[in-house]
Amino acid sequence: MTELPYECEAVLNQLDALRRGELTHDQITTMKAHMEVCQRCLSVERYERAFLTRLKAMGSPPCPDALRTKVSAALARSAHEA
Amino acid sequence: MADTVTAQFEAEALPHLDTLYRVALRLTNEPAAADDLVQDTMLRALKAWKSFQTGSNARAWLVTILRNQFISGWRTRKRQPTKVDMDAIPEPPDSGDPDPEGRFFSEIIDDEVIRAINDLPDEFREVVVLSDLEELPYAEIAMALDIPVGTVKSRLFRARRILQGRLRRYAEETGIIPSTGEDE
Repeated sequence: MTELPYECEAVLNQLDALRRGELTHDQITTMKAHMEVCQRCLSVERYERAFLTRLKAMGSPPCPDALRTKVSAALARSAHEA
Repeated sequence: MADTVTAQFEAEALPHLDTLYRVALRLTNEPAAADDLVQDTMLRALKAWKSFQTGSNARAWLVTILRNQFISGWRTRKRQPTKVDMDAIPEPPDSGDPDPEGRFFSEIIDDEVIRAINDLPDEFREVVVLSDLEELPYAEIAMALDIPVGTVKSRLFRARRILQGRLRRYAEETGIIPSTGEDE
């Protein structure tokens, strides 16, 4: 693995925290300022974002109604057997 | 008395059925098996309800039970996951990359993304599912999987690199992006 400058490593380690809204205003400002001048970190950030967007685009199938019904019935049976 | 306990359990647990179903689906990769795994999990959780501490994280507790059920009963029934060569995890894109910002990801069909996720070893697949699909906080994932937060992060890092490498290779093979001629 190529050795990264300290600033780049710090920024890349915080990308998830940035996306999750866990950083302070000052931390966000520092990261954004770095990515304005560091093409590599900006690319990695966009690459990660594109990847995560693709995963999310698969949708989130809800629990089927039939399974909900089955689970409720099984819980009721189990409660009466207890 | 039993009805009261069941009602309390249902009030805490049923709101998490969607999450449990999706995690089960990604762990088993079979809707029928996911149904059974969720049902087994809920019955097991009801029996263990006394050990649950009110006010703690019900979703993480339920995911822990589901995962334990999967490991003890379900994983042995399915194929062994693909072995991953840790030394072959690709690096992030460099300046010579034809698509350094990953626009190709949006061109890849769902089936291929699901196949790539399913091919991950279990310990990597579960962190991707819980973090990147279900968006659970690291602390909750750590609780559910009984591993330190640092391990969640490092597994997630590796899992993403593996997935990205496979999807990129697929994009090259299908002509979505030009081939770089590099192996994973």
